[in-house]
Amino acid sequence: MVAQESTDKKGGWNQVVTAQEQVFFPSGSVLFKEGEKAAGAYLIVTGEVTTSMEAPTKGTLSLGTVQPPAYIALVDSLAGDRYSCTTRAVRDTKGFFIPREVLVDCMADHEKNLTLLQALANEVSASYHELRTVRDKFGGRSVTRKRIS
Amino acid sequence: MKSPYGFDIQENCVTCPFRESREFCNVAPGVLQQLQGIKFTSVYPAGTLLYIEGQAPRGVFILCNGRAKVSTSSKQGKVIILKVAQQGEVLGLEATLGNRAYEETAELLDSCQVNFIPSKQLLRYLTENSEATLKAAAQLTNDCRSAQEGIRCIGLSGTVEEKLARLLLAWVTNAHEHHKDEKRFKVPYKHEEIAQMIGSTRETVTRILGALKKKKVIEIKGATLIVKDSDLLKKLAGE
Repeated sequence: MVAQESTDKKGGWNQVVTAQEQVFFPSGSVLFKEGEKAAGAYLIVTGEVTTSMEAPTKGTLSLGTVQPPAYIALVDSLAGDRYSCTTRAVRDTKGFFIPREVLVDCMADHEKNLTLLQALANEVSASYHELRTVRDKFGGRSVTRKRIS
Repeated sequence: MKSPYGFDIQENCVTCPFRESREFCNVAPGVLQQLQGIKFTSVYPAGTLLYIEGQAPRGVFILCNGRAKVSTSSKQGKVIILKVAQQGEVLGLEATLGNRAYEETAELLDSCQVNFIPSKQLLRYLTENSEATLKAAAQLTNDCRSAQEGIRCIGLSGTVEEKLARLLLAWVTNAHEHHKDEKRFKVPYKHEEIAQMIGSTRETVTRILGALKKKKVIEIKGATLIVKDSDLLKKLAGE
């Protein structure tokens, strides 16, 4: 899952990724696979990645494309969980890998915690967006409320 | 103090007897004192809309007791129930932190005490208390998981029967109500609402529940759902 970051928060996320490992993924390579242990999150700075979920019986469900700057897998990493989706670079992509331990430390840091919380909130928002899209694509036909926004 | 809805109003978070069982409120006494200073307590009847999708964020709502239905709607106007929030959960956190319009509608299912924290005070409270930050992160994680489960249920389940069977299994597993070999669950939802949870229609849910009764997989007595054949239900759910 993905948290799209607005550019005005650049200063904020720079605080979190200071001194973290820079990573490069050539087009077509996989950043992480669904079900692998979430060792950390990624901040995508340039390039483009896609996310997808898989089910043995129904194949792959494409969730969308991520434009930088964006955090990926913050929720999975902070929860100490497994990655909930597969992420693949569709163009040459550069970013930072932020290990789970660093994320947890940042949560206890008064100067960085709000930045991370806001990135988490963005990831939740992105999940809601994906859910709404999937509902229109796969769900039944009942229409009961007019969307306001 | 007694409310007109039959429960005691907990005006003071510090002396609240339930705080240890409520995730967001289970913090150190000093932090809790700070929370007490920034929250506003209200009591609302069932059916109250705390906020609606598209509204500008004002702050968060802590559900002190009772339940709330949290739903969102797609571009085509299809309603999706994200979750039924339980006591102790924080509502509207994602919109308040992201400073964007609420993406869900929160409707109280029971008469509830709700503590409201305005945006500005919440941000200061979270910045100053790392313990509170972790609680907020846990709430956001749960919200994200609810959405992911919804995506899996709607986008990656084979048939509506499979989705419904999964939902019924999840209910009876979490309810822990067993009578002899039967698993029971009191269903507080209408067929329309069940349809909104699994991305289907009211008619389809009614039809499939009827078919499951006919096959003697389940039995419905009033609002109570009894699973008669859990092996077959698991098979239908693809487990």
